[in-house]
Amino acid sequence: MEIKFTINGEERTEQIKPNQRLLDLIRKDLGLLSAKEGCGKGECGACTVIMNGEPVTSCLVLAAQADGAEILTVEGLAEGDKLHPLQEAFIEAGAVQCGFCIPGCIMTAYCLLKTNSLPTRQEIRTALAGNICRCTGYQKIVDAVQLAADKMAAGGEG
Amino acid sequence: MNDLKQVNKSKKRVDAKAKVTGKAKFGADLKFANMLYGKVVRTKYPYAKIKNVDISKAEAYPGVEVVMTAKDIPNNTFGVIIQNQRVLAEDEAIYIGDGIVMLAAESKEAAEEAAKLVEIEYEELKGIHDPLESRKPDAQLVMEGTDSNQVVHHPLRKGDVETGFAEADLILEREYSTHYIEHAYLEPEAVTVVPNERQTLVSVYGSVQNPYATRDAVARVLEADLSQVRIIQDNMGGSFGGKDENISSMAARAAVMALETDRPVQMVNSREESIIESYKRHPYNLKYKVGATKEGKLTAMEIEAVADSGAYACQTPFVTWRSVVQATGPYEVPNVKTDTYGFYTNNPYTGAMRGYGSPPTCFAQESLMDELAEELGMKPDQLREKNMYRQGSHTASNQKLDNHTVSLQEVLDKAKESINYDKKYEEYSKEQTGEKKRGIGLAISYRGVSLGAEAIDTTGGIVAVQKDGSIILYCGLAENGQGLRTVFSQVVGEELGVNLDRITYMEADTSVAPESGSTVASRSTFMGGNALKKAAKNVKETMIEFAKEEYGVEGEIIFKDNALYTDSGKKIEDFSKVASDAFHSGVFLSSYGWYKAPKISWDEETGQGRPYFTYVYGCQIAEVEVDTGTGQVKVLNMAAAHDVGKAINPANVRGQIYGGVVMAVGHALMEDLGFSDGFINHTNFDEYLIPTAKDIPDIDAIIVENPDPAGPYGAKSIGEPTVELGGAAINNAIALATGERHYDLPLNLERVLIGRDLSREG
Amino acid sequence: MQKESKLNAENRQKTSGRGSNKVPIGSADFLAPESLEKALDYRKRYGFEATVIAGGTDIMVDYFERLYEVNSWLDLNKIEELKKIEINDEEIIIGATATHKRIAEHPDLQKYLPMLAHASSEVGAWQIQSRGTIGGNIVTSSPAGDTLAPLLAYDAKVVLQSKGGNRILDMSDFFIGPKENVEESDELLTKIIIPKPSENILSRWKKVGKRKALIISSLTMAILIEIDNDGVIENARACYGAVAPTPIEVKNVGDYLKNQKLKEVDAKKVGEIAVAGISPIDDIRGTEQYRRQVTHDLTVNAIKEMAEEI
Repeated sequence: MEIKFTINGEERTEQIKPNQRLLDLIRKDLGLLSAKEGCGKGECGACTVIMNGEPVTSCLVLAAQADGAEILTVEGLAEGDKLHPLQEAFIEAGAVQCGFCIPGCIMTAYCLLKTNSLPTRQEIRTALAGNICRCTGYQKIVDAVQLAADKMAAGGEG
Repeated sequence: MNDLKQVNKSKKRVDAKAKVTGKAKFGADLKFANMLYGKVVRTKYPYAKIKNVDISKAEAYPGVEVVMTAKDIPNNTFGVIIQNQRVLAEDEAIYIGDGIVMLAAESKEAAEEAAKLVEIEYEELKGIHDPLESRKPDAQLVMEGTDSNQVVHHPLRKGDVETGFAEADLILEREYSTHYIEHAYLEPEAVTVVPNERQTLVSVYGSVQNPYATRDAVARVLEADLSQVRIIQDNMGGSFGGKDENISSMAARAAVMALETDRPVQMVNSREESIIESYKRHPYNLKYKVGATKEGKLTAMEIEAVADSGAYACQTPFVTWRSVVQATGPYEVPNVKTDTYGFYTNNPYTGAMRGYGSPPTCFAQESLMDELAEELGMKPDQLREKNMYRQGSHTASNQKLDNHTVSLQEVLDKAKESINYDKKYEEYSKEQTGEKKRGIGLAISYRGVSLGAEAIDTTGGIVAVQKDGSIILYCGLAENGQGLRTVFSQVVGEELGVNLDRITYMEADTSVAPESGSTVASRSTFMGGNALKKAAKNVKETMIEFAKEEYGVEGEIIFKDNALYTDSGKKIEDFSKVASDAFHSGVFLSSYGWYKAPKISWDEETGQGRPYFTYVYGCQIAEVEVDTGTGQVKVLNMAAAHDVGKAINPANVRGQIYGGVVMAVGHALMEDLGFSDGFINHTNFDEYLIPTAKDIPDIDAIIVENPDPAGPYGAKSIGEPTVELGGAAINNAIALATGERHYDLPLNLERVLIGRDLSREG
Repeated sequence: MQKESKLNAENRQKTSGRGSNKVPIGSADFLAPESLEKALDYRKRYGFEATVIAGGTDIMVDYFERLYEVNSWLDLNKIEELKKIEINDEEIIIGATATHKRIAEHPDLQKYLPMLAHASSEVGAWQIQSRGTIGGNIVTSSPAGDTLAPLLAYDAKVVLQSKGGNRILDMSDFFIGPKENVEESDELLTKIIIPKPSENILSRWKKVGKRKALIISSLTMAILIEIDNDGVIENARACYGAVAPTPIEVKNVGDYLKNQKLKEVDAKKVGEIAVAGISPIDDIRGTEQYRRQVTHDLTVNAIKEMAEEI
């Protein structure tokens, strides 16, 4: 079957199978590898992408359900060489260790800052509860989201 | 040294940009032309005779290229210490993760479908699932060709415990148990093997923690020279000790199939395959007996620790060895008798996991110290201060601690101050009303740095200055996410006065980098740092010699800010210009650095000697709130003070502390494999629970620095000490809050509410 | 040799979804109607042959690693009318595909149905709340479904629609066992109707789980008490999840509380009545004994707290 959707600002028409997951469409068909498969059951958040403005675990969405949707992955955040403030903040705060969960964390944080431009640490922890990380203990991820919020407030971005 | 530019600075991680943009490729992201997808069919039973295997239907399935069994494998066994792990099970399966058939097909889907068509006839047998059963003399044997189930026994004898207990006014005897822990790296195992590539028989790409160990295994299985097996490790989605033997097995399987088909073979585990097959942290049964005078002086300690090795030896001999060294904790005890054991069972095999043999003994022994303090009517920190190691103390192995700073008092004081321990201890010791009760608990430890007397301890590195002044580093130690690319770049950058953006730490490639031992035992900063520092110094000397001659300078030459300066501060030339001039003058600007760890010794019979060349010290304090209506434990606060010698990258060190503490919180409160009679019931993250961001508070990470004379810039360790203290600290906090002590992990809802884990009758 | 009972294939290592020998089906249907009418047409034609999907957060997990077994999907996401949340003087009507996220953040639902809003905010984590729907939570019919105890406490009704007409059922009549309900093959759950609670309402919601997010509840409790101006209980409902084959109301608690002055209620007695009304089992999220003890303690505390609140 055929679906039309927008991903990282680009309109696409793709032939897909009805039983295919959105995660497989993104990774295998589109070659966007930032979304990772960590559990396949929506329990780790490594495959988080933004669909119609909300973070979703793309392993639990059928590709067919993306028909007409607007999707954003971490590949779509930077503008050329200019990183998004969240990406900069994750680097500056030292929030990255192995990095496997990071694209998903950034996407969830992106949604958070869209709706709550100056979140408290507890609000960040609640928002990111669906993104499991085994390396960082989350603390510097929370630091990074706060730092990004400050950057965006100062730079008027978002 | 006193004007450090790169080291002791929280430099940005050199690999962070690739990771925040999604450009960093992990094992499952790789693709090779003409690649096949591999799959393993595992046993249905933890212990069963394999009576017949019929692969004909699987072979006939469209798209299937190869289906193989143990018979098709040149050499079916491997192992880092004892070579008794099988690539595939042949006559019998001895634990629930044993693979029996492997196959490769044109697509992942075809491989999965074909796997379902493999027909295996079993005769299920009753296995042994408890090491306390398996240690009995008449127990059935788990491993063919052995005469008992004992994998290893490490004794330690100091003084005479009978005399020591006779001198005691108070003797406590307690039993503890710890449970299986899954590493739960976010990236499931992934390996791709390309045959006949780049002059080697096989190239192995993927999430390999220890490239040389995997090379040993693959070469052994293929019966090939080490030079014909190339392991290339790049980004890895976490490991924590967990991507060693299981990855070796996966790589060996893929390699056999790749050679058979002459096509690349990729294998990627699902989370469930990963949890079922991979090795775990050893569960321990621990018996402690401690004697003390009424003034609180320890007189004797007798310890027996029994570890469940599961179906294979794997790293049990070394894991239990770390336990025997650290079993008394950091206390001066004149009379010690310790025995640690590992036994085979038909359970998941157990191996290296962050902390290695210390988290179980730390949990038991630091819980015991609190109970002893309570019995003696002392404050927990006072009892510890009375007995803990100080400068010049002798350990249980009778090693005199005098070649580095013994900083237990400092880590204890700093952690206490940070969390306001004294005041909170006093407050929470009073009667508490209401459903929610609070407590605070602490634990301290000492930990040997690097491998110790487990194995030869050496590391090599290469610093290669290019003609444009950029620098390539090679070392066999691997970036697992902990940040060693950055740390090594900082060390070399410091020596050569070059900024990090001009330095590239290459992926670990066994055909290029010198064999460096494994990336384990929190040894990388110390060992690799020293090796690369040496290599950088060699290059520096060459450049100094060249500069003196070429530019006619005299006296000392200083390397800083991407340039060379005279000792009076006059710039000689840019570093890149010197590199270029040297190259064009025929000067060789690369060097090997080789570092061999300081001397150690160990007596197998008595456990006496110098098991480690230096130690680190740590203290963690947990403040908790227990909901006595539900058994829910909320960690309100954690302080963690660790002496790291010198922090090469303080931000990275804090990252290690945060991550280790949270891992320990998971181990203590919620992680549970749901293990029963050889089966694993919690096979994915919906049931094997690790902490989310919402489950934990901000942690106060305190870096204590007492430079070690042997460490690079004084640096020692941080990865593992962070994870050995949390269990006891939380257990002690819960005991203060509720007045009830617990002796078994995990401290889940039921254990805390009812006093035992009803689901496990224990 | 071990006892025969342990040596059977049931005892093999379980992995989600595997073990089926069904051959994959190359192409399935994906039906994504834009109107409810069309959806009901499909439902009549395909019946249980078409797997209904909305947020997918339960069904995709049920079909983990065996999605190929699904012949046809009936996706409800393009039907706007199923997403509506309406509030009038008497009732609150929530469309079946309203997501947990929208319910959690809806100001009127926070005001009138705080237990439901709160429970919705504790389902899984954000990613699950973005997709998961209230209708899905009901139709999955897990005894531990987070929104179910609150819905029972609010005396919700569900509307089951088919080409033939509508059935309106009390929530309590909808569930018949663990993951079993009375929905027929031609029916769709289209909305949930909740009588608008009066002003004099006290309520307590509690979810107990082994961690604070991404967790299937070990136990849920939703207690609602309606009092008159003198503090006398006019009506009370104590509902629990994960303590019986379905989410349940323990009616004896309501009967006991009715006409008593809240301040004078023997909370311990209420706890005992609650425990007598449940039939928990042992599973990985908790044992029977644990669930009984916690049901007791949570109920006692809730009653005490509510009494203090007035």
